[in-house]
Amino acid sequence: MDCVIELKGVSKTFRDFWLRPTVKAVDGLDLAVARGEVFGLLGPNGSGKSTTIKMILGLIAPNAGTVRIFGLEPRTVAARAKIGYLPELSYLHPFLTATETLAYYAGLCGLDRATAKERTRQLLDMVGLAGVAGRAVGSFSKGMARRVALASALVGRPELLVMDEPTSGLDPVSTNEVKTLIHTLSRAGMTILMTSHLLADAEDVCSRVCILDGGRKAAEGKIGEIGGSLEQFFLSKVGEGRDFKVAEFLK
Amino acid sequence: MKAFASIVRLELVAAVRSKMLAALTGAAVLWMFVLPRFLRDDGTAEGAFELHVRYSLGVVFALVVVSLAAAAAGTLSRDRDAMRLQLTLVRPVRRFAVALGRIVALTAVGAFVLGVAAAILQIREGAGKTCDHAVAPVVSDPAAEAERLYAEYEKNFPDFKEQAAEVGKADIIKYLKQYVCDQFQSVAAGETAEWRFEPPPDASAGLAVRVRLADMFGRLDRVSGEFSYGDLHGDLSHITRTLARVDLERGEPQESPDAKAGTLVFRNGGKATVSVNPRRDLHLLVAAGGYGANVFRAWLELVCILAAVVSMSAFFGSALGRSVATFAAMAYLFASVVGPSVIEDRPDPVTMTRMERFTMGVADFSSALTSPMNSCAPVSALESRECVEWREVARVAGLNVLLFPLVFSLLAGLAMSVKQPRS
Repeated sequence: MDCVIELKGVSKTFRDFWLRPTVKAVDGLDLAVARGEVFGLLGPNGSGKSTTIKMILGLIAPNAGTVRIFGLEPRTVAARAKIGYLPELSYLHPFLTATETLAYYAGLCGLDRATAKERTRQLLDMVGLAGVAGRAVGSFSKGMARRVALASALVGRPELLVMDEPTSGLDPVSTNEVKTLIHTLSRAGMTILMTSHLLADAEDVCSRVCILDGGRKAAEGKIGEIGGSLEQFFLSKVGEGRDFKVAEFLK
Repeated sequence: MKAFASIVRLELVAAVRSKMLAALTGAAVLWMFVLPRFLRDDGTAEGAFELHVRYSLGVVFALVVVSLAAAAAGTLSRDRDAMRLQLTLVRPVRRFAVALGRIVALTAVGAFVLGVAAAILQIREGAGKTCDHAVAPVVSDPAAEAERLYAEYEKNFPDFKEQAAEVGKADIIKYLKQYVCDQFQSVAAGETAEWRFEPPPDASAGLAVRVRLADMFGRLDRVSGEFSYGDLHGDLSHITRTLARVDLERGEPQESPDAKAGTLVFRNGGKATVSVNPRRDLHLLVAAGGYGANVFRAWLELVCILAAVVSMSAFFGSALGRSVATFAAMAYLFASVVGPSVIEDRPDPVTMTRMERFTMGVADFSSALTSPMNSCAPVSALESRECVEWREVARVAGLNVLLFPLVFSLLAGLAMSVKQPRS
């Protein structure tokens, strides 16, 4: 298997100011994502999805184990040149226009001015923001900002796209557009790693999923092979005994 | 390089759109151009109140340094807290370049504002004005002189070795150096004193003497006398404790001294003995060209100093967060102002208490740490029409532009790797 992402025995423990361990976010995680896959990283809140993504992106380093992206250390410039990242919230510079935002990220990817200009135009057209390209993104709605963030993740033509909750905050039409985009990019050979709480969305686009719980891998499998819906599979793995203890409160 | 240029451009756009550049430029224009038209800087404002204001580059520099130190403290930490920094860090760009790009951009903003102020200064005051090289007389090196005195004490006083062992030679040498630098040379009424200049300054371009004389009791007294340098002469009529400038011109001296070449002679023509500290308070001023070029060199040196402060603030911002970094930058600027004045009153190392020793250690450390800022030499040089020397500009540039921003950028990059928000 041509591995794009490879995690072996990865653990991450966060520490406080006095270096005392506060939380073990990821515990001995093994993961392998093949080229061209749409891989879903699922799990309840606090299961270690975001920490895993940050280690894959090279934003934080694991305490134990190894993370490899295209066989490279994720912090290297060569590895990062192949990655695009769409965070859960858009986190854009509010004073930049949509065009300037994409030009900034194009510059960071090392594109020359002409290529950056052409790609900015294409991407803004693709996400339907060509008409507001000159407006500051600080004045955009959440959905529009999300589209700019998606375009900026793609501006460097990455081989691996990491998407944290790609459909969060989008209306049903936009959600459908994003899902279609993911299918299209996957068919074009791009590897996609995504997290989502919307299991129906994940079921629609992912070819394989991994469910995390308490920093450990609870289950992993291909969508077609899990039997039943993804939601049933998910709840059977991590949902048991997780009801609110409401009876005593209502007494 | 393209990534670096993108980061610089982003920060410049932020400075323009946040109106920081406009506000600072407006303040510089107000101070250097508008206010001098309404409020005179000689302490007699029109109206019922008196003002003592100096429309100098130093005031604009202070404003720019404080503003940009605060901005630099926030530039990385604000983006990290708002989670925007991670979107830059996942791109193929080195972390130190992210910090350096922002430092360069903020320094460029400061350079622009200081450039506007310097241009106004040149237009306002530069016409027909020149500047001078300040040449110091040949006097013994204070460090060598301190070593000589130390050796002499060791030889002549049997108890000295024991005391020195207790206090530490380094402290005693520091004290002796200060003692040597504080030595005054007395010139009795009617007597002459000589100081040699090596190599002898070229007199053809025009010479002047800058001197601060003192009397025995530190009073403001009238002094008079004559300076001679070869066939150039100038009369002094001034008061003690203030700086005097005596232009030397060709002419017959009142009393021709038997002076050697390259020797400045002073004849005390007053009624009382006067004294002068030749290490600090006596310079021969040699004409060094136009004021405009001097303003340019001063601007260049100030920009270099600014780069050091901005890079330090950016590092603190990255490592410690915005509020701590802003406080650290302000504390640094405060220490830059008070540090040297503390060290001027160095106590005797033999009699000083443990607490005095501790405070002197802190003062020495803060002085070393704030050396890029603490004298702000180009501002005082401009005000006294002294030439800002290219070699001084090169020295400051080497330290403050080549060293500090690079080192602090590397450290800030390291801090970015260590300090990341959890979600």
